[in-house]
Amino acid sequence: MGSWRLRENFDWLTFLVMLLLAGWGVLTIYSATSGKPDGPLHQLYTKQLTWLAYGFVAFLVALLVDYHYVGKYAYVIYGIAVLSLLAVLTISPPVQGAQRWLGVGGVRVQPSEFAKIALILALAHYFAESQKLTPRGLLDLLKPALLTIVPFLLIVKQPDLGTALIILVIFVGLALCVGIQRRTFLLLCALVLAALPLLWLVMQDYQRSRVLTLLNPGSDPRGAGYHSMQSLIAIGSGGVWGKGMFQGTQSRLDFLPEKHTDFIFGVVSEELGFFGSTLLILLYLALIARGVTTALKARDRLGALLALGIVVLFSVTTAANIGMTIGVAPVVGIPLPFMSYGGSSLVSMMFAFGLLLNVRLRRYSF
Amino acid sequence: MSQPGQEREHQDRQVRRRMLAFVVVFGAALLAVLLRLVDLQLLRHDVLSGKAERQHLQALRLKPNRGRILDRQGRALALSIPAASVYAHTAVLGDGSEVAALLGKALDLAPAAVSEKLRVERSFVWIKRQVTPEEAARVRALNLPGIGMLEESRRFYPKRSLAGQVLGFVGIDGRGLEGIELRFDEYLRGRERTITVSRDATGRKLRLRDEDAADEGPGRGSDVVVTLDEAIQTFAEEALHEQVERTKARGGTVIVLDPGSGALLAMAQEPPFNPNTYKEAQASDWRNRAITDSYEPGSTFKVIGASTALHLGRVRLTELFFGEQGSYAVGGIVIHDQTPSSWLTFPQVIQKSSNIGTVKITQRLTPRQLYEAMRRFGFGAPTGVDLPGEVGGLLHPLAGWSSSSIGALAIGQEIGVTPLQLAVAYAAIANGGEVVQPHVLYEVRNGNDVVVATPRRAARRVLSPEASAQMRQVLEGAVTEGTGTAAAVPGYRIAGKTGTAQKADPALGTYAPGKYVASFVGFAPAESPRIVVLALLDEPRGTHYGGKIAAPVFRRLVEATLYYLRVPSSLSRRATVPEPVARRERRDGRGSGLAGPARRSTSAARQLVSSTLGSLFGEAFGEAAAKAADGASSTAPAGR
Repeated sequence: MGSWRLRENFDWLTFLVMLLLAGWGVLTIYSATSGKPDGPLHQLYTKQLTWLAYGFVAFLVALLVDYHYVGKYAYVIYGIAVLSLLAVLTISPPVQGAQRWLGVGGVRVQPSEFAKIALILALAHYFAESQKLTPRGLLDLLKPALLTIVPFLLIVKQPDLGTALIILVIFVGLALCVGIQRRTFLLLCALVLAALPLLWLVMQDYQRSRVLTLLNPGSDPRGAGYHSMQSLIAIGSGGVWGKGMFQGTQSRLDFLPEKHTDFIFGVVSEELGFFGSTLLILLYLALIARGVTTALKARDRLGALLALGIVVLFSVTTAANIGMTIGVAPVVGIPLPFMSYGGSSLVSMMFAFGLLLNVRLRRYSF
Repeated sequence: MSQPGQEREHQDRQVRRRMLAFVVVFGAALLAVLLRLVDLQLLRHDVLSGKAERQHLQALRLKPNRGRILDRQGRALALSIPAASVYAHTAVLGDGSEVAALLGKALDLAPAAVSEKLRVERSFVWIKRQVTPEEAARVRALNLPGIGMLEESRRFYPKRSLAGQVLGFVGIDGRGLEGIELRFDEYLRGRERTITVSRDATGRKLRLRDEDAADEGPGRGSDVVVTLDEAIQTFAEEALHEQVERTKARGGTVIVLDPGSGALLAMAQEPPFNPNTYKEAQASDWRNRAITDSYEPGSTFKVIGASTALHLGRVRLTELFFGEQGSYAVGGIVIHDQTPSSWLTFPQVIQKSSNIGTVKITQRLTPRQLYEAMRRFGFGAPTGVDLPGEVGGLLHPLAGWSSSSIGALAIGQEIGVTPLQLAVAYAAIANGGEVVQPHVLYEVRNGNDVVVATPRRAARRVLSPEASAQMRQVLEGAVTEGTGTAAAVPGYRIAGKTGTAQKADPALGTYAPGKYVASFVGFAPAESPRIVVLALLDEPRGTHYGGKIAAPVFRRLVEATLYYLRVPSSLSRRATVPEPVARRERRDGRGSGLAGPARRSTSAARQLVSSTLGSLFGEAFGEAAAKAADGASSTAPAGR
């Protein structure tokens, strides 16, 4: 593992785009929180810079340690993740009615963010190790499904439906790619459809109203639809070229809620307009396309599945967040990767991209 | 070995195909996102921008700092001082009963009244305008969300009631409502500017948008310089106030007019009006009665017919008129003289204020000649002074005259005049025969630039220079040896005419018993008049003769004003200058004793002169002048 290989095969494009997005994120967080000179959130961007530094360390660790080595410990990592999710539910105090954070040495981390990557590792490891070549039937999926169900339920319990659904999507994505029997697929689809009414019953009232306002946006502009309506106003008022950096009125004057976290795309759209939001989407698309080629060019199944799982996680998170911000998906608390304020999300996603580039780095090595 | 290898390769191709399918699906999703962005940011941009602006923008009208009102020497009579106004963003407050209680306490308002305002269905509502600094500090300390303050300004009249009715006042929204504030509001107010401020979602932190902040702040309104002189106004108000107190009159009016230009130097009125607290005053007290109220002038009006007869050559100064021993019938009514007389010269008729003599002089004119002369003097129509609320008085058209009208009009009855109309008529006699335009505006200044200067106003001739000179001489005699001796000022030649008129009762159409208007109108110095002064007392109790109670006001005011204006003594202009002492003795010899009140008045005048003006001329002269003032006060039998 000489330095020559690192320089030759390191995916500079992905790395630079990732850093560009993270830097853009810090700037946008600064813009969104500096509307009030004495506002309580004024120093958030410096915190995010600190998280970015931690994230860079996580990235380097994930990049430099051979992913095969990491794969060997996939179940251990998975176990730690499940334990931390249990810890969240048992020992952490509720914040705004939800238990999502765990205090670790003075900083609060969100174990569910890391659980997603642990699940990807575990599933990739499982599918890579099982040498079955024919499409999988229902029984073949039992074990990976179990691996998925445990963190899924723990996260639903928090409650954090958005993240839990992403856990499910990771499983479905990986399972579809390794191949499942047609009838199994149809059976699963039927199961999901059957589960939908059940899901509706499990859902909290606020979650139901979010889905309802998605179907009928104007129904309750001051209540459940407020977030969505304000987001559309912020984006729409940006126009073609936007209001200019640090000039967003809706975001800086607090009309746009959660502007520095979940609705940060709205800030970019307001300040930089159609031009900026399209550019941002193209950058995300570049990362996704690069991730797909990494998965395709991976040296082995573990690498391919690992890369694929990360691409699924990244693209689905991005799509869900942007979809929510532009009012075509229900409002769920899912951050925009690399941009949104939040240490756990940033560090875990940079760790994931460390793994992704790890796969790409070692695609020719034997 | 090859079989599982091929199988594996096949499966890898499958995986590839599925991944490409994923890319296709995701590409489609991305396209959907882009279409949505086109929809939101390009197609619905205007609608959504409008919504955004309605949320965070608020148009506010910024009032420029109102201009000052300055007297002719540049002394401030009215100015604006900053004062905060408290507003609320009701959308943020919710219930607000607690807020109402806190605000009510801090602002000295009833909590119920505050809640009422907070319930208004607008996002922005004023709670209290132009609060005191203490109230502003209390509100700031409360630090309530949704409650804020904006800097406004508050009108302040540093001289309190001085010239209050002339200055007028300004309403809460910065608009002039009366007087100069109303008449020159356009200049004083300046250009109002609408700016847009942005606010955050909690309704706080109103701030200028950057483009507005870059713009210059709201300009200042222009300063309006008026012809009034604070010192003369003070003399006038003090002299009037003291006499109103002494005579227990209902009120009074004093006008000081520059006969050459028509500039008003002072306009005083009792009872006084303090525009700082206009809400507490009665509307009748803020009316400028010198122009809004007319009265029957009585004897002061006699000069109109008499001077016109001189002007038209219908009478000579040396002519004698028979006094009819005090009773004379004109057109079915009988006119009386207070002091019956036999033969009087023209000057004596005026000086002794003989009604019969005046009627006989005026009868030399045709009714039309008298009517037209009165119109030309300015009666029956507003003078056009640049103050709001002026009335034209009452002058019956010629067609409405009865056979006795010419007699009544000759002695100032059957006519309503405003004090200002009469002062302007006397100014015409004083200035050589021209009716000038009375005015209060000197100029309008914006910074150092004069925006509007008083336009030159056309004067109209009513008397020939000769007729007016003769009339001045006659009126000087009224002071030296007629009914107006109490108006005499030592060291100056004074001319003037007394008037005592019964007030008409508008309800009965008859004269109200015991209700009089006592007045004196004159000018000084008689040989080259600098000021025309009218002093009027409304319903004095006790003595009601103009010569007794209005003339002393005139004298005291003229004395102070002439010293203040440094008008050279009339004595110094004579070829042979008699000693002031000799003049004083002459007057003393004729004086009929000093009444108590008059004595006090003289002392006050003396004090005023020596304290405020003596220093101008040196202690010795001030003292001498004051002594002279003491000696000069005398009363004489007064007629109507």
